[in-house]
Amino acid sequence: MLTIEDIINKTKDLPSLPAATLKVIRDTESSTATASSIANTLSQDQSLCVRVLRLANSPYYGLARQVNDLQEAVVVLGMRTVRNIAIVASTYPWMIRPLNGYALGPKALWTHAFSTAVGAQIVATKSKAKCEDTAFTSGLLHDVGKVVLSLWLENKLGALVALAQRDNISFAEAERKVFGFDHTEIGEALGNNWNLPESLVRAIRYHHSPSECNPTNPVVDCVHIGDYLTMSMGFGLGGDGLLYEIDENAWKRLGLDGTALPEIIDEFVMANQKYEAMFEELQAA
Amino acid sequence: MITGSELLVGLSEIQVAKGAAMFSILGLGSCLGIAIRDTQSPIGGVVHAMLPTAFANKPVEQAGKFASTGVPELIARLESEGANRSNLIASVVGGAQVIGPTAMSNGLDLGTQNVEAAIAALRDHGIELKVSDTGGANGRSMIFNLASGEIKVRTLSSDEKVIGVLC
Repeated sequence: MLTIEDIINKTKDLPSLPAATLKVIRDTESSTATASSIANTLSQDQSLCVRVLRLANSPYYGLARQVNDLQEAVVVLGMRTVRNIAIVASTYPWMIRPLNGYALGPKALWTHAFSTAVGAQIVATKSKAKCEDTAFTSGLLHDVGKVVLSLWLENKLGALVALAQRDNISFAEAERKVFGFDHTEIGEALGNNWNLPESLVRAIRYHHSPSECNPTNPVVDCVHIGDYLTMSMGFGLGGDGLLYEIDENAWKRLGLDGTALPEIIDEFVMANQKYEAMFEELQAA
Repeated sequence: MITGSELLVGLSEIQVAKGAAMFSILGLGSCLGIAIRDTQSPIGGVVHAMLPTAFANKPVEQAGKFASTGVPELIARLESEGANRSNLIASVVGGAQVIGPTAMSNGLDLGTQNVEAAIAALRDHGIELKVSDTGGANGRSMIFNLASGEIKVRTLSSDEKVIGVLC
């Protein structure tokens, strides 16, 4: 049977993040980063630099005047917001590709990932977990393992869905029965290869099983719920549909429950609609 | 009111048409596509509801957001186009939800709540629910052919199929 390492080594066109983006992700997790150091790092990648500035000036951020250099963008928007913009700009090119293994059409994974990021951020705000920006980043990257496993799932999707439905198990568990691991474990391995901060890797690994994360982590809980919101609203649904379990303890740890759900969904859908302006900028960038 | 065209019904929207229209809703998760048609004339419409009932503390800005307000608003629009209430029949598609017992016991069973609210609203307004494909964990897309009354459903793991006819 193939191992996770085999899968990663044998997969062509693995998703990647530019070195500048990876360094910014790590630097923003440390207390020594400054507006200047973040701007310097990003400016080493001219194409990324142009896309980040374009997004920073998109109507979504509503800046009173245009920002023309990265340091100014970091000062005006904040380091973590610019970090998130850099990740959005870096992941968009490969997240819009179709993933046939999961029956995800063009842009469907992107829609799902971006909506989960928005949902996780809203849940973090509602819960006062003080992790809004990391929740966004983690939400955006949570399904990165699907980009790799999709190639190995082609022609198997129907059988895995049937297995999950027959045995009343989640799609992730069906993946584990067939492959010996699931897309969250592949994502964890990729995150470790990229040397992503631990909280991001944990969110990728445990977004379907947040109570298994030891110790539990509010970022993981927020991404779990952001993913649930996204599936429920049908944003970027694949053939695996809603075949995943919801962990009520994630809600409890964040001080939330089902009574908060309708208002969270309402806010979540409105926020997604606002982001449409940003999508247009991404397509042009 | 649009006639003779293909209508994509977005989240929280209500659309009504007369004649040869084709309504479609893509990517229903826990949300619902509620279609209502007059059996005696091709007047019909669809609401794409995302929540069961309106908020107690907020005014309703979009009736189609909720099953409880979307159904009466759709009926009112159909009647204003000449539909006869006593001839109206309905279809409900969607209401999927995540698996496992936790959702059911903690108010996180949004799909089930949506379906129950739609059924209650239809019953309260005397509309027969003739066709339904709800629940489970599959995302669905729905197509409603107003001229023939056919309701088709497609999931990402199965082909498109006619689940019933509103006529």
